[in-house]
Formats: sequence, structure tokens, C-alpha cells
Amino acid sequence: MTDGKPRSARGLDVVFALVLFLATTAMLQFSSRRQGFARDEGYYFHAAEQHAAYYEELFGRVMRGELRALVDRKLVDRFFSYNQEHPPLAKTLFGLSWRFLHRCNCPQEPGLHALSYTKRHATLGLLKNGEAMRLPSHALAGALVAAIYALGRRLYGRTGAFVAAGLAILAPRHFFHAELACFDAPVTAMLGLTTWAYVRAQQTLSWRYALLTGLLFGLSLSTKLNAFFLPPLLFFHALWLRKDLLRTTNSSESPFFRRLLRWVFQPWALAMATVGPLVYLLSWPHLWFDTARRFSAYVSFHLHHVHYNIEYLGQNHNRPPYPWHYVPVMTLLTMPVLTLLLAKLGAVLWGLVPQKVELPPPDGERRAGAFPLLLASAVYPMLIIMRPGTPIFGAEKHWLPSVPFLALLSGAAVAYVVSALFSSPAARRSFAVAFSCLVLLPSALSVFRSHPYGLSHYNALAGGPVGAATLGMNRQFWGYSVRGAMPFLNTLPPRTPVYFHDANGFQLQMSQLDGFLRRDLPDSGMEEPGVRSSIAALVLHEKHFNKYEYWMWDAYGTTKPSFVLTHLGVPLCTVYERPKPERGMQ
Amino acid sequence: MERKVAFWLVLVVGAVAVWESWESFRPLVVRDSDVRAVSQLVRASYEPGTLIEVTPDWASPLFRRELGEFMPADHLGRADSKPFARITEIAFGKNRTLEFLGFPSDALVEERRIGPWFLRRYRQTPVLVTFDLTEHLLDATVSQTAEGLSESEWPCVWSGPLPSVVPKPGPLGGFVCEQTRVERRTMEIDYKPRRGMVVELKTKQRTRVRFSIPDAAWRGSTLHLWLGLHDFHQRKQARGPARVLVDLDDGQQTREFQVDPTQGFELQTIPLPTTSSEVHHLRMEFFAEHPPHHFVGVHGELRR
Repeated sequence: MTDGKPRSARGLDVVFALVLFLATTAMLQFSSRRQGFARDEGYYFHAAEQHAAYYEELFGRVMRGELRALVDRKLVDRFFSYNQEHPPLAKTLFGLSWRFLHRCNCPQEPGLHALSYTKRHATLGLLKNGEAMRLPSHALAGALVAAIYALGRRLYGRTGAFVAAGLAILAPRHFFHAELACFDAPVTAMLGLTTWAYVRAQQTLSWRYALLTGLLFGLSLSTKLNAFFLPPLLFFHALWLRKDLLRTTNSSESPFFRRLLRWVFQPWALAMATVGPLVYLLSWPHLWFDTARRFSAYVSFHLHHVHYNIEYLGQNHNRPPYPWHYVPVMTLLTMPVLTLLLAKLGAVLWGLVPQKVELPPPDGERRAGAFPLLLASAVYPMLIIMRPGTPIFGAEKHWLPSVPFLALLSGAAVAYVVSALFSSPAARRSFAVAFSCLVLLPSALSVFRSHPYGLSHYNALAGGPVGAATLGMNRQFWGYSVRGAMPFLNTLPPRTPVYFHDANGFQLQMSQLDGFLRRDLPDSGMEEPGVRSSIAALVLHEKHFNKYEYWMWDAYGTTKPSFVLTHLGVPLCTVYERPKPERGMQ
Repeated sequence: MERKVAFWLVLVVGAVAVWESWESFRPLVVRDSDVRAVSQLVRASYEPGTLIEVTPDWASPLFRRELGEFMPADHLGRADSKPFARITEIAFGKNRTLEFLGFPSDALVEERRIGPWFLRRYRQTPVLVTFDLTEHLLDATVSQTAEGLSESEWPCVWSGPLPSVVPKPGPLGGFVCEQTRVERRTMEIDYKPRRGMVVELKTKQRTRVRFSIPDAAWRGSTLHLWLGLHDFHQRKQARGPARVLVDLDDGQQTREFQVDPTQGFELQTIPLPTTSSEVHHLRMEFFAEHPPHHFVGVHGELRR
């Protein structure tokens, strides 16, 4: 016996966690092949190739004994100056994955890469360019699902843990973001993993987990700025949880100041305060030089971020104050209804009858105050975005880190029901399997139904995408649905200039690299001059983009589109072709 | 007790799971076959000049794909539906076009249901548009004056291609002033298409647009003027209102209007002075205290 559990049971849980990791990664990798490249992905692809090139050159020079390369500012600036408004970890992982896994034909693809390549890369050649770039996101989501299982398993047992792990990824919007080479799902994963390590640090009081918390926190900071908001939450939780450290005991009558220091500087906090920033700094070579100025430029970029547009209940919002109810309403209409219901039930049950939900800690471990932590972790990211001055253009992706914790609360409800209903282990096992399948089914179906247009997904409360369109909810952003129009665009005559609207050059380049879009369709340019000089033009339907469609009507003299891409019948992208003048027509 | 609670929870959770699964398995879908069936019906009984309106807005591309030749930009961007004698409304479910809800009950001559779509035909006595300012923009005189120097005026001349049925690739034609333009286009005001003229404002300048209107069109008519700011991106950055001064028959009557960045395409009605003349003059002057990002959208009609 170890930790109060037989070694074989622990081994089985490790196997389950591993299976969940692999299954999630594989599922995302395969499903993302139908997923259009998003606008921001284009920028990150461009940066990722440069990060990979940096490490390749650095490695080569260090191998040749040129250790000065480690502090070569010119080398760093050459490869890290682009997209410095976001930290590097995800982009570096995308780049390294691409570097080792893509099927290389780079010398024959001039103009489609961030750098020019004179010879083919030596790679494993397993994946297309975009597939390789996206793989780290999939693996991180897989790791998150495994961590949720591990956390749930310790807290309330296997059934609830399985359900929590499943519900965490089977949320259509989270699933969508987890497919992309962007930062929102990765930072959700990193914050989930850091919280898991923190809980383990509190359960075991071991320095090993404390250090792991610090390491993961550093990696989280290096993934996206959301991570800066995590320490206060964990800190206040730890102060509440370990108030025993302030009390005197008969055995140790240490002075108050010492007890105060032990209370405030708990091992995990020390690790997060030291290892975290160190890892952050080490992972981001851009900050190695002129650190204060570059870091403040990064922070300043986000403090003064442009307020983009988002449609909500028929109104286009592009400047504060934003409606406080945007976050709860969007959550209510985009998360699977059953997950929300279970999360609420889980929270109530765990609050009222914790002893019926939470398992006793294994020998040598202590309770980690999991319920208040999970509840706060589910609500906290939402509260940050509910501040009227916080931009809301990213919709649910900005409070995506709530999702794993909502799933964990849901798992608690399932664990309670299963344990309360049956006393016989055999009956309980059979019921657990059936009930788990039942509660996972709607989420799985909604992911299936929403794919590959996850940003257009709205749940049954909204009436699905059709009901949401009628309610005046945003149908998409990032221009990713252009992928659905590519089969039509590929039928256009050779060298037809196309106005690609919100789809940017980099995402189109990746679509061309991976064979989704013909290379001989030139981009006619930006804004109205681009529309007016084009022969075909597409508009991605967002409320504020209506004017682009009106430009097309005027430029082409028609309002009749040639192609309308729909999701469940709701238009996402409309393509116009310039009519050919009939004889005698002016 | 605990088992009882758990039992009820299973029932509730199970019911929600079944409901949500069913909704995900068989979601509400807008079927192409229904859209085509509705379009066929509309096409079969279409009479030239009929206004076709689709509601809600998101469904419009689906029907324009089928019926686009009957739904020109000047219909979609109309200021209102009063000049149309025949109107066809294609509505999804319970959605209705707000403007048509105000019609008298006898205006509705036919209502049919095809799947989730309602097809309604309305008839009304149309108003007579005796003069359309947007239509006559090319006949107008466009000029600019410096603030406080109204006697010195610089002409803005037409540049670029003239409007045509099938425009050629290239820039939009318009009156070009020193640094700004006056154009006829399908504007975006309040995120809706609006056919009209766009007047771009410039610091310390007033832009004038003058129309000469024959007495036959003028007499007995009322000026209907719709004003708003074009282009959401410009509206977001615009500070303060724009102003529009309307001068009828060289000072016989003047009115000034304020155009706020937050307003929609708002209607102003102005009775015309009864001056006796073969030709009447309508002058509009556009200016603002903080002109950057003000693209004033205007459409006017003399209606009887």
C-alpha cells in the first residue's frame, strides 16, 4: 500500500490518465484537420518558424563550441522581434513541433514561409505543416484532461473523475480553441496543470510539488498573460487553508513573526515567486536584453489593447463600458447545458455535504481545501472579464480557464449520485458506466454538431446557431470559416484576384502550403481598394463587417452571391463574383 | 433520504441529458430545400418593382443567392418602404419586419407557410417620389468653403468612372474636393445598408451640395431627409456631432440638423416653401466642430 491505495490501483489510474492524454491529443489532432486556420494562428505560424530557426541556429553554434551564441542579442532579435506582444512558449512549441514533424518541401514553397529555405529540413515527415504546428495545443489539452482526471480521482473517485475529464474537453468552444495553434486553450491547460500541482503541493506538503507548481507557473506566464492573475487566487486560498500555521501548538512554541513568515511564504508560494519568473525569463530570449523596457512594452500593449468588435444581443460592442452580463449570458448559451447544471449541483452538494462528495485523503496526505479552490477557479476568470472596462471581443476564450473547474464541479455531482444511489459495488459500477455515458452524451453530440464551426456554436437554450443568429449573437471571429469557402474558390478561373476580407495573408499561406487553397489566386488587397480591384470577393458575417458586403454590392453591381457557406443553415461566409458585362451593357 | 435525493437528481440530470442530446442530434436547421421552395414561389409571382424583404437579416444572403436579381442594392438600402406598391416579406418563424407591422390589416393580401418560413405579400398605395437627391447626385454642384469665408468657394469635380450597371474593376467615382470626397454608395449606417450620398468632412471646411429642382417636382412636395453617420469604424472614432444646414430656395427657409455618432438613419421632414419659380434650389452644407471621422450619410426625397 502506498498513499492509502494499492499500488495496482495507482498504476491503473496512471494508465487511465495516460489513455485520456493520448485519446484527447489524437482526437484533437484528427478533428483539427477539418478546422480552418484562424487569423491569429497565421501570426503565430509566422513567429513559430522563427522561434524554431532560432533554437536550430543556437543549437548548431553551441555544438560548434560557440557559447557566445547564448547571449548573442542580434541572434535573439532576429528571431524574436516579431509578435513580441505575446510570450513565446506556445509559439516555440508550435515551431519545434513543425520543425521535427512536417513533411518538408520548403525549398519549393517560396513566399509561403516566414524564412527562405535553400534545402529541405531533415524531419520525421509525419504531418502537414498546419497539423504539426497545432500538435502542441492538442497535447497540452490532453495533459489538462489527464490532470483533471488525476485531480478528480483523488478528490472524489474514478467515475466523477472520468466525467470531469470528459466534460472539460467536450465543451464545443473549448474543443474549438484546443484545436488551434493559439494561446487560449494552452493557457487554460497550463493554468489547470499549475492548479493541479498546487493542490498536490497542499495535499502532500512536499517540496517536489511546490517546485513543480513554480515551474508550471513559469510556463503558464510564458504562454499567455492570463497567468498573471493566478497567484492572488492561490495565495488567498493558501492563507485560508493554512491558517493553522499561525496557531501555536504545544509541541512548537515558535514566535509569532516566524509563524507569520511560514504562513505567508509557503513552499509553493516561494517556488512560484522564484522559479516561476526564472522559467518565464529563460523561456523568452526577447526579455534577456533591455528587460525592463521590453517587459513594460509588453504589459503596456495589453493595458492599452484596441477594443475590437463583438456582437451581443443584436448590438455591436467596441468600446467600454461593456454589459456586465455578457460573460454569464455567453457562458449560459455556449457551454453544454448539462455541464452547467451538474457544476451547479456539484457546488451545492459539495458545499452542503462535503463528506459525501470528497474522499478522505490517503495516508500521509491532508485535505487541500479543494472545494473553495475549484469554485473560485471556476468563477474568478469570469469575474475578471465582467469588469465593464475589460475588452470582451475574444468572447468565451478569455474566460476559458473556467471550463476545467466547471467540469471538476460537475464530476463531483456525478460522484455523489453514484455513491449515494448504490451500496453494492457491482451495481454501482454498472450504473456508473451507464450514467457517465448519459451525462457525456449531450456534450459529445454538441461538439460533433458544432465541428468545424465551433465559434458559431450555441447550445439548446439559445436555440442552437439558428436561434443565436436570431438573438443577434456573434457568429464567428478570426476569419477561420473561410476554409469552408475554399472548395468554391478553387473552382475560379486561374489568376482570379480574390478579396479575402478578414482572412489574413499568413493563414491563407498555410492553407496554400497544406493544399486547401490554390496558389494562383492572388489576394486583391485590403479594404475598399481590394474589393474594387477584385473579381471575386468574400465577406465573413459579423455585424460590423456588413459594410464590406455593401462595398461588394456597389463594386460588382449585384447583391446576388455565387456561394453562401452555412452552418446548420446560418450564413457564415458569402462569396460574390463580378458579373461579366453583357454586350451593350454599360 | 440521501438515496431519495440522488434518485431525483438522476431523474433531473437524465431528463436534461436526453433533451440536450436530442437538441444536439436534431438541431434546428435552415434547410436549403425550404429556401429554394420559398424562392420558387416568389419568383413565380414576381412583378417588377416588388420589394422583397427577408427577416431576420442573417437569412438575407440565402435568398439573395436565389433571388438576387430581384433584390437590387437600392431596394435593400431603401430609406423606407413607402414608395413600393408591392412588398413580399420572407420571414423565418415568428420574426417580423418592424416596418410592416404598422401596415393596416387589409395591406396583407396573402400569407403562406413553407417549412419554418412565412411568405407574406402586402399591397399599399405608394407615396410619389418626385425627386430623388441620391439619384440626382451627378447633376448636383458640389463645392467647399472655408469656415467663415462663405463667399470663397472651391468646386469639387467628379473624378473616376460614372455609375454603371456592371462596374469595371477600379475606384469608385465621386466628387473630389481638396482632401475629401462626396460619393454615392450603399452606406452602412447602424449596420444596415442605406443608399445615399456620403459627405466626408474636413477641418475648417464646409462642404456644399446644391440641387436644382424643377417646379413640377417641387410643388406640393415635402422634403424627406434621412441623416446618419456612415461606417462603424469611423463612428467609433468620431467626436461630437456633425451638422447639416439645409437651405431651400436661397434662404426662403433654412433648417439645421445635428447628426450624432450614436444615431441611426433618422428622418427629418421639411415642408417646402411655396416660392413661384421654374427651378428651385436646395443647398445642403455639411460641417462639424471636430470633423475627423465624420462621414455624413444622407438621402433625400421630395415626396408627395
